Amino acid sequence: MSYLRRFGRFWWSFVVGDNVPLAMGAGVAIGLTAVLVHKGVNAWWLMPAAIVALLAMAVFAAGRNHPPIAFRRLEPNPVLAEHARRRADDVQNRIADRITDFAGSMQFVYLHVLWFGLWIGLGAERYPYGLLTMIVSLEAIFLSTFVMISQNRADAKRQVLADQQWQTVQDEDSQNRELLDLSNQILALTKEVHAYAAAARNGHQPAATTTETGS
Amino acid sequence: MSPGYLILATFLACAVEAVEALTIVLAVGTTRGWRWPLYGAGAAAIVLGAVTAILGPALTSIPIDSLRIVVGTLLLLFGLQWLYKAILRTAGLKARRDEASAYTREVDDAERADRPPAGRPDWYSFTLSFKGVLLEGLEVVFIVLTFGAGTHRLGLAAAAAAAAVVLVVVVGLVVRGPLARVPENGLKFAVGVLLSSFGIFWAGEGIGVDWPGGDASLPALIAFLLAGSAAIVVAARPRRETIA
Repeated sequence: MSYLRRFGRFWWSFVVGDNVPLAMGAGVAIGLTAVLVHKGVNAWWLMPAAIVALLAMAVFAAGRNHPPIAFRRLEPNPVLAEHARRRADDVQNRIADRITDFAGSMQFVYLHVLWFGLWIGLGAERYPYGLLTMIVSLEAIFLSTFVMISQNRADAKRQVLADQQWQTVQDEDSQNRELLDLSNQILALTKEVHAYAAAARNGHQPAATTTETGS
Repeated sequence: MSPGYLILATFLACAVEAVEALTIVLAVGTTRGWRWPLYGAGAAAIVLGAVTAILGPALTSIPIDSLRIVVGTLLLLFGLQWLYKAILRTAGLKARRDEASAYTREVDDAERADRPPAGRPDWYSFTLSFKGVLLEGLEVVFIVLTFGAGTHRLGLAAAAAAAAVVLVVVVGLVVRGPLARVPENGLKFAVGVLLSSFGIFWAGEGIGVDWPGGDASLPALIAFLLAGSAAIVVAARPRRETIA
């Protein structure tokens, strides 16, 4: 069975490749063209336009998921990376993040342009498109929630960065106090050395040091 | 339809795959001796030839409309894979294949692998060479079969592919090293555009699309996909000022 599965997987990846949505999109474009041709519409334009649009969506999605090679040496902020990892532990967060990512992308716009174009162009229903209006109204309700989820996500990231910056400021403040203390000790020591040298030049026995230099 | 497209697409696709297969065979041959890698490459070539000889006539016996839907869809799926990766590489979103470093990696692996006692078969060399040539060759066989069956010129497609293999092997023998200067990504870009265009054209014809101008729309289709892909590359290329 495992041989059969491996054999099937080899041919699947050989023909379809590692970008399944791209292949599925091409299949849908062929299917839609066939439907339109069957309805008497010579939709020769659909497949070329759909293929270029699908390629653009796939390439931009890849660019978003994998930073460009030239920039890959930039290390992500560890605090943000840890925050993202913890957030991804929750499956609800993962689903919400995927939906907000998709809803805030140009692919979402293209998909709706295609959907509305086909719905109206193919005459799925007559003007004033009551069903379409109801569907997009429901969609808008959910999308407004996802906008707020997205805002909360951005706020959480900002809070993590602000906490880290506050910690950095506190660390730097502590270091600055230590440096000031050290500087004061060096200043006191320098004054004593000067006094000792002046006394020795005048032929006096230098006085014993009295300043406490230890910390 | 002009046979020029058929020859160009199969020749370019086969040349790219032959360059990649040559890198593997050369790396194993120069490290562990030529006998067993050449046996492996020869065995793979026989398997590939048999697959072409068996599936070719079987495909051409399918009715032309059904054949064009199947062949067109397969070519489109296959071409999109090539084009998608070529666009990512050209835009700098994916590392380009470097034959010189691939050769060095293969040589290192071949040197580290255990060697058989004298006079015994070197199965490592045979298997590596056989697998490399078979996997790269399968893509060529696929293209030759689909193009050949779609145009009913299987012999011409196979001859173009064979000519590309001969050319790459001869140049490889002259250079005596991996063909690192071959613009692989550019060739893959071109092949991806050609395969996708033919895929769209044939799948369209198979499902009853009436292409404006008939066969003359094919160059326009190729130009459209080329322009669209180039535009995607320009738009997807990272802008440095965004992180400055």
